[in-house]
Amino acid sequence: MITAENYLLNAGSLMTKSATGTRGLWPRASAWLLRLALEAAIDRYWLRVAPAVADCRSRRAQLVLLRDHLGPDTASRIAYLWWALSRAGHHRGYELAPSAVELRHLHSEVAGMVGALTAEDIDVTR
Amino acid sequence: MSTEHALLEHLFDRLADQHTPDRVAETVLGAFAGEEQLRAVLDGAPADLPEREDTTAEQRHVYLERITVAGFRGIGPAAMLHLPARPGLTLVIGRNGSGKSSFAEAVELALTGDSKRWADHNRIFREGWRNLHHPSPAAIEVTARFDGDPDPVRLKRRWRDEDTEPGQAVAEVRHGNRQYADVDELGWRQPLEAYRPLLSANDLGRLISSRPSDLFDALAPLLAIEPVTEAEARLKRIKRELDAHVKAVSDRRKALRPILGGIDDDRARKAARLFASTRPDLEALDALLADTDDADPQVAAYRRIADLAAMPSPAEITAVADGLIEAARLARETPAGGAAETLIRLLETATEHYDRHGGGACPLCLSGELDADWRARAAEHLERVHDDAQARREAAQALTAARRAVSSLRIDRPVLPDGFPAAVGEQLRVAREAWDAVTSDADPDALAGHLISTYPALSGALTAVRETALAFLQSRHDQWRASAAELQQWLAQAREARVHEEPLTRVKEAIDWYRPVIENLRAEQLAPFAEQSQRIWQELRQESNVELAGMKLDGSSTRRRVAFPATVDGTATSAMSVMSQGEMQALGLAVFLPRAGAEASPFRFLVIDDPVQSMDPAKVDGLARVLASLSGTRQVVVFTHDDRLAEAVRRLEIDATIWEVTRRENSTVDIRKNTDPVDRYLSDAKALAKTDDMPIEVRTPVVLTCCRSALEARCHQIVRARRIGRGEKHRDVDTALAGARTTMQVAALALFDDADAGGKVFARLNSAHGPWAADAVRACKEGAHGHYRSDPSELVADISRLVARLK
Repeated sequence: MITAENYLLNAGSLMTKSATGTRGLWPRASAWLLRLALEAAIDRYWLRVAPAVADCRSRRAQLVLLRDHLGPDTASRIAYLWWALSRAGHHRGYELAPSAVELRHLHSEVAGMVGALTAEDIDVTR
Repeated sequence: MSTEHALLEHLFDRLADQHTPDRVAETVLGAFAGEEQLRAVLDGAPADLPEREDTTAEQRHVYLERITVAGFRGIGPAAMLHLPARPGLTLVIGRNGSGKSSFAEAVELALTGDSKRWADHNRIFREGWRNLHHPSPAAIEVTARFDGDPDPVRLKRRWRDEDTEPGQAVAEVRHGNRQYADVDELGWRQPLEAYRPLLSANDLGRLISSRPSDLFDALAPLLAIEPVTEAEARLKRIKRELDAHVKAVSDRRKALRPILGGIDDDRARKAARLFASTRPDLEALDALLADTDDADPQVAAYRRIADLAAMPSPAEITAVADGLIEAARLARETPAGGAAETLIRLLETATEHYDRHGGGACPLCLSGELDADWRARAAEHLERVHDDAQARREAAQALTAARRAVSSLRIDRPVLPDGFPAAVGEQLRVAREAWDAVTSDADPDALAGHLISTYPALSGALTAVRETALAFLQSRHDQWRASAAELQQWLAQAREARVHEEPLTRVKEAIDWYRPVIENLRAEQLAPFAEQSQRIWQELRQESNVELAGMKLDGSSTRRRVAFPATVDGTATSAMSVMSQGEMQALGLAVFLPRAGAEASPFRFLVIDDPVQSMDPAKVDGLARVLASLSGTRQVVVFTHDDRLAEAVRRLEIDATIWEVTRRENSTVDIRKNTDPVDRYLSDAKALAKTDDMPIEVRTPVVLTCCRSALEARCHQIVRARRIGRGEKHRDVDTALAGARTTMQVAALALFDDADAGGKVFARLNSAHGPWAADAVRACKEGAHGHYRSDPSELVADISRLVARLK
């Protein structure tokens, strides 16, 4: 299983230098990798904390359940991030890919949330 | 033929059609030829027309080929935008801040330099023109091409590191081997101003709603009738000049009239009568001013009094009186005459008798003796008597002379005119009565006393009368003299102004002649543009209820304006007052696209920055059609911040090159061809699937996303084409698509026209295309699962196949 950190790293490098064949593709691709990073961190969290939740196929349910474990603030930030990144992953009429500034912001947000999810993870295992 | 000569031909035709009199025609043509010629014509010379230019430099058509930007605005490291240098439509799309507008700005700056318009309007631009991430090197270069010329034209502006203003750039303009100091040397300044092939929807909207005169000025050069409007302006200028002279004279006349009315003088009254006319008889006035003779009987009477001869002096009167007294004394002292005469006669006769007959007895007394002794005594006696008589005669003569001197004293008896001051008149009357009381045959001594005693009063009275008359005449003269001097000045001015009257009439005739000609020319020249505007507006208005009834350039000088007669739901109104911002922008485009694409413009390219901003989707469709029709003959480059216009272009199957601009961090700008989004997603997916730079676990989910986006994009296209095709409003279609959030909902909308039919999607795919289709869609939907995991290229192939089959 590829880790959240790995996704984050790849998203970050995609944003700063172009990989072969990804000229112009990077904004959407980075956004998608960021979403994968976030999802991987969530999956890992639930696997450790409550494997039953991890088995649940509904991402929305998992996000809702985060509130009880991480508090409403962190949970709603994660939910919002997931929603924003999902948008970038779907085709939308007229909407262009996110800009570099937006991506930079999303990247740091995701890194923060991955950190938050991992810290809890460590706490719980201890 | 140059425009100027085409216009001149037009004027000749009008002059001939209207059978314009030669006099007017000369002025009309003189005005067209220039100020100097016009003045010469007004001085009586024949019109001297400009030389016919044989070499009419035909403007060569210009297209854009490449825009290179580095270190400028949103662009850091050099980025290049290639444009096919021929008619056609190019869209450059990129989100706000992607750097796309930097290209548009670079074109404007390269072509126009740091024009004042920019400096004034765009402070943010002034401060932020240099890219923050890559401030050096900063340069923009636009490569343009003359139609059919192998050598490109390069317009380059380069900034040194110390430059702080965009205008400080070093300009470099090259065409083949030739080098120019600036763009102006290519002769582009005037057409750039007149046609402005660089349009920004915002600016256009603003211009449309700006002062009517600004809008007029923006459109007027388009009509290319300046030589004629300038001729009219020339005439108006000279008219003002001539008017000023004539008006000064008229104003002065009006000011002088009341003054003349206040002067009690016959000449002033006459002058006032002359001045009642707006165009007084100058010769009559001249004669009046020359006139010193006075016909007024009252004034004549006064003048006669004033002209009275000098009165005898008191010494003269005393002499006359003395003469009287002396004569009187003489008469008194002379022995009385009595029988002196008889005695003389007797003595003479007696002596004669004696002398003849000799002595003897006295024949008279008969007692006496006449002898020689008697004879001697008688002679003595006779002599004495003779002396006495002589003295008496002399005394009488002296008295007569003295009396004559009295009666011949020159004392005037003036007749006083009516209105003469009564006190003075009465004084004279009393003095004269006293004087007349004693006649000259009176006793000389009494007469002398009378003269001495009454003369001073009479003399005083007469002097007073005369002085009164003189004072009257003097005051009358003074008043007249003051206004006469003014009249004299006015006369000189008026004579000069009369010289201007004829030219003024001619100038007015010519202005009257030009007015309808200009109106017609404007209408004629504007007609094709107005018609295009009308057409464009028809396309752009779509759901707008504002109907435009053409456009007109009205008025001149300070009242010039552009009129947009419009109807809103059938009610006549002015377009401006009822339009929304989007409509205003649309109107701006409707008005200015024809200008930018004018046939006479050398610029065959049009750069339009963000025309879609506040347009609703229906207008975007209209705009796409307008641009498509323009791009048949023009190179149309449109910068736009979202995909709406591109989507419309694709859906309407308009030929277009679409570039997508994205900006990385550090202002690195990528430009890539944006074709159909479906193709783009698929080619991205294909490329990514083969990229070894990224671990397969990382790249597979991204490939999946791309495939899913391709599928969704295709579904959107299907839904849009179907719904808009059957007449649904864009807005409603957008709402339906936005509501379909998941891949399945979108697919259901495309397949069943019902977003809620997601459950039937796989079955339909299975039956219509086969299990592979359903599998591929399932993979897209669920993400990194299924057998595509090992080879994402397979999924790309399946999805490509599927989207090609979806209808």
